[in-house]
Amino acid sequence: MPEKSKAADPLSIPMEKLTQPAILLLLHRNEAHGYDLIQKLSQARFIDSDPDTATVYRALRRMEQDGLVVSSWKHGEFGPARRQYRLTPEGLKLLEEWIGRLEERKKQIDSFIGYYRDTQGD
Amino acid sequence: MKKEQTLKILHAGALRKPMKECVRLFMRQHPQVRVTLDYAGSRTCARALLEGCDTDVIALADPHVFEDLLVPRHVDVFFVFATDRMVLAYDDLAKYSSLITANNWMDTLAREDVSFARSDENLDPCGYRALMVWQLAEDFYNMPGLYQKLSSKCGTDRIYPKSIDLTAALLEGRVDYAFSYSSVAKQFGFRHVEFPNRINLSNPAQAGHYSRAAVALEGMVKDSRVKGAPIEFAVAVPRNSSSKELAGLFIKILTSSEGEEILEGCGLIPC
Repeated sequence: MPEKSKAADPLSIPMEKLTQPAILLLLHRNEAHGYDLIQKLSQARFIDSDPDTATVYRALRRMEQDGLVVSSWKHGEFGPARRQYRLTPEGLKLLEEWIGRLEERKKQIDSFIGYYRDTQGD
Repeated sequence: MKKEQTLKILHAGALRKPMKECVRLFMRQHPQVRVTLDYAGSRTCARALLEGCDTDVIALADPHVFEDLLVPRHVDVFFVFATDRMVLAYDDLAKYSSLITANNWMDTLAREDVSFARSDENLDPCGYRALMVWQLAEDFYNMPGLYQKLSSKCGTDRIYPKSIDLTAALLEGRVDYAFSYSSVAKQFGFRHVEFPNRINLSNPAQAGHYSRAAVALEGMVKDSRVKGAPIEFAVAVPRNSSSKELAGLFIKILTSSEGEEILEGCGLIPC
């Protein structure tokens, strides 16, 4: 079955816009490599589609250039070594700003839905 | 007199362009070093190392090849440095090139007058990945028998030793279509059909689904079976390298921000 086109959905929120805060959030919990982050982003309930591999890896590189995360090569007992990322203090600060911004947005959304419900009740 | 320093690199054919560009970058920083580059299908590269080939850097198109053939006897640590995805490459002279899409490629390839190629699964990961795409496509498009149909049509004269050979076959018009990596298609300016994430072996989020596909491989000593997984490229310094320090410097360049720009420019996704 062909995959549903995200571009055709007028209500979809572009994944690219959510990638950075979602990565910050996951790295706040644990250090992780890109492969692992893509799997976790896919399982996270705050995103409704599989993350694009290239988008996530590019975002990680950009975030490292911006000082939000740092990477080092980590290898476990088995399998390959991968570049593992962890949050920096700057990354944590940005995550906190995102949380504040999302809380404001949540209030606006609640207000929007409340307005609709009130109209329905009239 | 100081002995000339040499760095020997053996790599997967699909990495030809990025490796050459990274070597140029390396030689700008280390002009005193003579670098030799050799390439083959990844499993052929690994077999060469098993048979005593003297190399300082080995870069392959699948970490599984390291795990299956080289670790721990010949390689200790191997580093994943890039990813890619499978596509169906073609040029505008291919039959039905103006009509083929992600939804009808299976029917196009089934036409009697259309030819297509893949690489050899026993020599090259792109070969077993093509077979995995066919297996996953059978389920995805709900087309029972698709895998068998494609396998039967792609005879031995359409199976090449390594993925980079597919580009020559396309350029010379020996085949209409070839199952290749997106990066290789981009490097050679081929048009290509993008497969959905569920079958293109690109996304770690689909790793569990990809593992439903599997291909049996003939080994030098024993046969093995490889399961579907997201495509990754990995690099290592073999234990018997006589220039470990230079090899380490090369890998540092390959995985630096400049190296990543080269990989990205060649259509790979650095990771």
